[in-house]
Amino acid sequence: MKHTIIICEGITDRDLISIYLQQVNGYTLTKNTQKFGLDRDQKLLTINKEDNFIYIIPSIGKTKIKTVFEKICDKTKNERNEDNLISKLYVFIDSDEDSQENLISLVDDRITAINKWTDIKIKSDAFNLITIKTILLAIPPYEKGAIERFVLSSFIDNGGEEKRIVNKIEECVETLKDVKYLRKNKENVDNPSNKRFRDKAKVGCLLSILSPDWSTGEMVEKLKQIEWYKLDNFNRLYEKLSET
Amino acid sequence: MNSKEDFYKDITIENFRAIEKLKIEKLTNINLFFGGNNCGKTTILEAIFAHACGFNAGAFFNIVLPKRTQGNYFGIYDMGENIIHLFRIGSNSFEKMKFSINATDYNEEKKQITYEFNPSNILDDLNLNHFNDIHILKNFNNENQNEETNKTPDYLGDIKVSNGSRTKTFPINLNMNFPANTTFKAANYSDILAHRNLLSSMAIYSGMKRSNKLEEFLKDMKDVFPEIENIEVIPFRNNASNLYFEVNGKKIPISLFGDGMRRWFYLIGNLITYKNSVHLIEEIDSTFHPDSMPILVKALYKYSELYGNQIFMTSHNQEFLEIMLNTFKDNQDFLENKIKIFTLKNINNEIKLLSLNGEEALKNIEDYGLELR
Repeated sequence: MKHTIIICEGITDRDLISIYLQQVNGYTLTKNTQKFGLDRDQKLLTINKEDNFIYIIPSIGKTKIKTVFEKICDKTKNERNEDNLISKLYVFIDSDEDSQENLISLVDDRITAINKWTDIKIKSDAFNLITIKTILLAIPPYEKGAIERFVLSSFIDNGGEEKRIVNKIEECVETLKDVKYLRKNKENVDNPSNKRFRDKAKVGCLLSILSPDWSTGEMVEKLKQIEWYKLDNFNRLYEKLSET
Repeated sequence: MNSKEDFYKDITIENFRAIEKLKIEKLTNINLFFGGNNCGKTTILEAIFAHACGFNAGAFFNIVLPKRTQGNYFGIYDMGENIIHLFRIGSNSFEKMKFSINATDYNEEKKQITYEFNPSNILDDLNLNHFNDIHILKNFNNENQNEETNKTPDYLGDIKVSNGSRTKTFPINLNMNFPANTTFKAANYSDILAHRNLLSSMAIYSGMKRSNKLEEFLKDMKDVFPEIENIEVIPFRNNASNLYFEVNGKKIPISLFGDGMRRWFYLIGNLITYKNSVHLIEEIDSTFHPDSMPILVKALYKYSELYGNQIFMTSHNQEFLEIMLNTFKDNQDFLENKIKIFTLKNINNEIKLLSLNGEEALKNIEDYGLELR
């Protein structure tokens, strides 16, 4: 058995990664069999393909990634069953306005660089030294923002009708940026947290247009309607996952 | 023993049964050896018992050997083989049949005991390498034995017991008669069926009655078995006597009760009767219903603290471990300092001893769902 963990920030990231791996790599959702000491709202998804198990954990907040990472290391340190050891760990972190150094410090200082594999060594009484191959991936990889910004940019970059839809949505939502619903930070309209809020709204609009039948349905059902593997940016972002 | 100062702190076992070398550190009031079948849990209890017995080889041989076979042997060769297998024998050779147990107490007192077996030629058939062990053949002449012993047909060899500065040598015969000798610590070994020995139960009753502890014990026992109204020994007309539990006004012989109730009486009674002792208990969870386990573990801890008893016990039941740890969930001192869980595990053909305190074990179970066996 092979066990891989993916830590991401939010539920949207978790669902996108899960759907992508199901669409592209043939994974299926399965019953979870491992515990990682997570908080109640950090609802993980488990997918598998034969003996390969992937646990996708939303940390629910950027600052909580470190705690989840530490718990995985602690569990690994105490694990007594070789079959349950984690061999690979991916961390998807929103770039936002952070520098690379800041992003690394939000996870673990042993990570040497973004988008590069690091061997994290964990001392264990049972197995002496356990190595977890770890990679930190920033989203979006080449600009500031979060997964929502990456979704929007991916559709723009792919061109066609979707590019026109996204551009129109961007235009529309930006004209509404002072409305109370789009202001997480009440003081400053241009605060980065408000910008991210607007990006979430834009993705919501986009998904509703791309799958109008599901406009009142759950977000995850809307996400499933979209063929993410047709977006080059997504294939590039998740190409490391194909190594699982 | 009067306090934790006299408890074992560290024990190192060398060349005992299948153990080549094993160091067990930071022992405490309650030490649980956890693991799958046949991983060596009982061997550890036997080694600790060997150390506690010190020079009193008779206690060691008459407890450890018979309990594995219920005291039945297919004659002298079977018994000889049982003795031989107390030692870790390299290449099936009789060359070095010697085990040692080193221990340090919390008061920093260090004591070592070694047992060395020189077999007589009667066990020659069991030495697969005997043609290469020519120098052992010399021992077969029984040079050190007196004439009388030499003539005994069931002479199995000599056992040499040493603490490093003093050595005593005992001939071993089929009847296992040894002169009484000095022990290192008082110790009590309870195997899975020890509670069925009626004489032991009578001794426990007697001990509690004489020390006025029977009432207190009965109160604890009623928490688990509320139907028990009284415990008493009643003599027969022929001067023999029997032990009875009173239920609904009826006096019923202890032998008619289930193993759970009898084992409770035996184990907890032992802790009260044999104070300041090392208690070695095989398969602690065996015969007990999960509902009675919280009260059992509370009693184990209570009488460990109250009477300076250090408890070593085995189990392969994760349910028991979880019940025990959850019983003391609000007792930080117990979880941190009064219980250790040692797991014996064969990992990549190497026996590892993994240790956790109660707090760590509880976290591993609750947070990570880890299987600690």
